Amino acid sequence: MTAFTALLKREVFSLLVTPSVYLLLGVWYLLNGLLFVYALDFSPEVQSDLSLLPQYLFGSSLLVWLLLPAFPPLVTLRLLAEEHRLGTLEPLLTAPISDAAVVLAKYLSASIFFLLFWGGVLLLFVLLASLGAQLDWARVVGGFCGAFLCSLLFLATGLFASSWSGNLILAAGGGAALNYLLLFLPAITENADGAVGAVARAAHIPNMLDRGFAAGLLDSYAAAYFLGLSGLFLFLTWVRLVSRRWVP
Amino acid sequence: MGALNRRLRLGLLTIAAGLAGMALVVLMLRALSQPQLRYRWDFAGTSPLALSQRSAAALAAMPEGSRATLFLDRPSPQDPLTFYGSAVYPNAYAVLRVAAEEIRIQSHGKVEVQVLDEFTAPVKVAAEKARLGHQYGQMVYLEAGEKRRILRFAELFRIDQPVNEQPARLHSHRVDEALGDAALRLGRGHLPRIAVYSGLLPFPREDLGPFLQLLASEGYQAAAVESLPGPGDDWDLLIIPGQRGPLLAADAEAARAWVEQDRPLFLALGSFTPAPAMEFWNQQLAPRGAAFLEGRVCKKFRGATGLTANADHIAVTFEGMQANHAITADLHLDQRWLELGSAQALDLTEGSVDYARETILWLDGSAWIEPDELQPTFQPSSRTPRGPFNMVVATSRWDEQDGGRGRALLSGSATYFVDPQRALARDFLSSATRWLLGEDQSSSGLVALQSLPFRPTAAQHARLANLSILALPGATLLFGLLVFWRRRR
Repeated sequence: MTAFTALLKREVFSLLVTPSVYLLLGVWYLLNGLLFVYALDFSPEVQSDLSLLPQYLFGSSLLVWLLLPAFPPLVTLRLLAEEHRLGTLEPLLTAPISDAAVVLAKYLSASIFFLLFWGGVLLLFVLLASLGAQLDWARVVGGFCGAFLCSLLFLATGLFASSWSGNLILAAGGGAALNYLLLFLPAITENADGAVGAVARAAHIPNMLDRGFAAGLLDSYAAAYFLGLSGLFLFLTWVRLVSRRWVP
Repeated sequence: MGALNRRLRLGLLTIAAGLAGMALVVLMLRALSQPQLRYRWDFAGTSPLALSQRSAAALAAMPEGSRATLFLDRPSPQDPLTFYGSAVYPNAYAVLRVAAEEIRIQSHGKVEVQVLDEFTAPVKVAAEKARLGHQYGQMVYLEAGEKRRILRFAELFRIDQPVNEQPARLHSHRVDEALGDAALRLGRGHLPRIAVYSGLLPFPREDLGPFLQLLASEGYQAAAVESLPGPGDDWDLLIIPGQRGPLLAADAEAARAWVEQDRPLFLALGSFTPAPAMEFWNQQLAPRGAAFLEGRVCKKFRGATGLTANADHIAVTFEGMQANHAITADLHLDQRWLELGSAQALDLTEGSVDYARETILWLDGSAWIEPDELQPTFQPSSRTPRGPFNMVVATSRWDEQDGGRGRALLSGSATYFVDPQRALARDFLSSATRWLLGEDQSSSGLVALQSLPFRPTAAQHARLANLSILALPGATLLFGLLVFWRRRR
């Protein structure tokens, strides 16, 4: 446990002293800020009722469709691919810490860091409240939880892509591609008949965010979907790392 | 060769482990998607969630292959509920999207849910609109086989109308209750029974078929009856779609009893109804404060060629519809019109203090009554009575309590019964039926919705923009730059 905590601290610190992630964070804040001001400026519906705002920022907005799948892999791309590239992965995997703990520590560090991403968006609501605006905090907090759960999944796929090789572009591109697949495939096949349509509807992420969390609802299935799939990709990452030992 | 073999084994092993993990997750998610294991907590307390046990049970009891179609397309810019940047529709749609998800979950997959919104292919939306005969204001169609329930905006949501350039506001909804009622009706519950009197029809009996079909498709149990139901019969509504002669003694007695018992009645007469028959009804309805007037109502109209003509085939435009009555509110909002033929007018009389009466449809001063029914000239003269005329009057008890008891709808024309597949007539007939059965008045299950308007001042706006677009991203980038500089050192 001590080794795990030490590794987690090291990973979090490593992210905190990486300049490129601040660039990501800055761009993320800027895009969210623009969307926020746009919603307040050009959407009379939002001005008429601020309870619609969480759906703009945490629901099925442009941000979720285009940006959210791309950012988490950019955060996770270095976690394993960089170690692979620098040749420090083997020593790490032979250190007195389990492979699962390595994967988990790297994943948790990215998740903790990603809280900063959504925390900044939450700050926009606090800013709004400080100007005297009344907010539906249930929807804001619900939306935040949903968006963060969704990010956990996208971070897990990013980490999985990062485990493929030492190629950083492949890690970022592969993670983003997986995320877009998870997002778009169900949306495209949602209206199909039979089992395909049923599966697509059960895996429709924007619906889970828009019709669930950002509407002020906590859906046990949606939470299980995000956490379950995150677990699956973490497992696949672990399998990817340890499989080389299985076959002599 | 050995390396290749190792790689192959490694790959197979990885794939096998991956598939096993995937199977496990899929099984877990499948189990957790079952309604009994799925929990949805409503933090906000404003969603139709979780659907009440009653609604959930009703949805679960619906037959396999049932459908729910939700029309959440862009509202018309002429709709007053969109004026002044109103958030009525976005809010209503948000509630209905959640409800759609609930229907899907609670029906155990028996109800196929289809949400048609601005992102759905227009071809598909148009096809569904044509299939269902969709009209503006109709939000949810719940279908079980041939039976259908339509939930209109007004039934689902309560709003404050826009006034003084203030946007309309959605203040509550009753989606759960309305869905539950509709599902119960379609699934296994009691279907309201409607008797349609066909003994003295002014048109061939087979022409009544489409109207009976319409009632059945709306979820009612409707039947044509040759004689009027007696006091012991358990019909919920009596419709008389025109009467071309006086009632037989037994039927007259049944009609008297029906009216005295304040049972819901939809009575449509016309200029074809002989005076004694009309006088009979005027006597029965005297306490309600409405009476049919003799003579055929005519009005000038502009035909397709642009020429002005006079005829007894008249159209009541939305300006002649009561904007605030449950029957005509949607028609008025949508600026629709209704055709009436062989029509007679109604007079509002003193009546009993127990009853309220309201004109639902009327014609303006350009209409007149053709005095000679047998040899009409279709030309108004100085002696002919001129409009405005009441064409349809609704009466109800002031102290009405349950269902539609005490309600009556008196119409001066019956021609719209013949062709109810025409959208205009169909919507009028179905709204009228619902009102008569008291289905409009339910306000149970209302859930209050918060409205949180925010119109920032210029200074507030500048502060918001500066902090969210400049300060927060700028500070982050600056910090990143600092980290970069420190690391280089």
